[in-house]
Amino acid sequence: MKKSFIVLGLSLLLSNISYADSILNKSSANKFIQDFYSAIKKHDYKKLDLMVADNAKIKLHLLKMEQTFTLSKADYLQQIKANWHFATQENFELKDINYTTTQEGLSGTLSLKMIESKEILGEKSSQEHTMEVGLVVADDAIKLSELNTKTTF
Amino acid sequence: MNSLFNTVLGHAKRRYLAIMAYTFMLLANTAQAQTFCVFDVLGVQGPFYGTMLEYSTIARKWGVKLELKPYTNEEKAVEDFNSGVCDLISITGIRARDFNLFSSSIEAIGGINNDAQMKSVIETISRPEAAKLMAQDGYEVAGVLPIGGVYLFFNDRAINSVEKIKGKKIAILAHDLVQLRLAERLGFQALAADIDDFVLKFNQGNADILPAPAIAYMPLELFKGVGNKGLVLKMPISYLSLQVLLRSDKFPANYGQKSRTYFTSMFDSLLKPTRQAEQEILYFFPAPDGEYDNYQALLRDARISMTKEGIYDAKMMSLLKKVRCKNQSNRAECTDGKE
Repeated sequence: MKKSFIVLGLSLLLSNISYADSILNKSSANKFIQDFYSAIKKHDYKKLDLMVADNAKIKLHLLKMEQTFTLSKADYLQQIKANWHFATQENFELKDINYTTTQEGLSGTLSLKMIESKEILGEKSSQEHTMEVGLVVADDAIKLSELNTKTTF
Repeated sequence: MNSLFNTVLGHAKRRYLAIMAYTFMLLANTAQAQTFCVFDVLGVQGPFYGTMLEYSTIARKWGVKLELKPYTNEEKAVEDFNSGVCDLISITGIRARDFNLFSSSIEAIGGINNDAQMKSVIETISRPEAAKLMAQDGYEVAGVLPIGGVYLFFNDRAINSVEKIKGKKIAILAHDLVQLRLAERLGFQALAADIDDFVLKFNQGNADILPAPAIAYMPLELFKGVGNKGLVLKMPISYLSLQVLLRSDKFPANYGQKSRTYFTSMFDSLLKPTRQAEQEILYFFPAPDGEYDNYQALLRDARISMTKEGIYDAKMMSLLKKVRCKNQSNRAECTDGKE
């Protein structure tokens, strides 16, 4: 009886891991980041809200000012939303995307460069962001858990 | 026996007459409308006027008829209240300091850091136990309403640190002694202006910094002054309020308490426009890493010295500290005996 419980427990654990593995991998992480910026372009707040973990740690480093800001999820999403009001012709070019697994199938990190161009407050703006994006699997979905970005903004 | 009868009758008569007189007085009070002077920069179209219109329908249920008189000029509204034209007035906390230093000190620099603290303070001062503090020299505070935090709008994010803001030009309202003293205490170069010129100074680049609430952001187009190089510091330097004041001799004795309780219950709905306005602010960032404590220390030093000068009420400062420390017990100030 005891043995069968152990076997059952182990198989449940293994099935969870293999399920998680199928959720987060190089290809799904790549798709996640493309979807993320596509949601920003489409002004899809609901989707973004679901894609960012509630306790996400977001750090924004302004290279010119040599200042770092620690933002909460609410701060970060508020800025994305405020941009929607003021910016037009927003475009995001993602390049040099690399995925590193930190915990097989459960968490990983994407490193990438993102060129953001837009017209805002009557000015054309182009900024380069060097990013590290932490991803985790939570509630059967990939979520952004950490974002460290160095920006020319 | 007869004389006893006459005495008893006399007492009954006097009592009857007194009751009648009191009833007539009450009827006279309820039948005659009280003039409620309402300041709102947008006049009858403004949100504050709308709030007070709703309030007047509630006051009717308490047996008081209010006749609203809109003012777009706050100074004129205060003048009319002082001269007796208005029985009740709603004005900003800055102007209310001439009538009640305790309640107006809710706006003290760095005194309140978030909406939860503001709610807690308003609830505390609106309780019947605090009624004595809300009445002063024939005037009573009949409500404290939240307007929201005052934020620093910078035209250049490079100056976003305690060291770098010193000596920068800040636009302030000329009529506000508190803002002037504050600018001096914080090491700014004050550019005093009237309400129309105040924002222009910032939007045209003559002032580097503008202290303003979120609700001013879109209507006054403050994003023009911030531009793409500036920033809005997401750390309120004070909390603005709208205060309703009444002439005590013009209202029934328990009116002020009922009114305060009503406005307290409306806190969340009153703050909705502010919360919406905060969502619209572009480049709205918290203090840079390592700067929050520096900013807080700067605000605190200014607040303590302004309390010593009598600009802020010491009892209110003590209450504000209690609320801050209950809400954020890890604050450095919570372990010292100051304030």
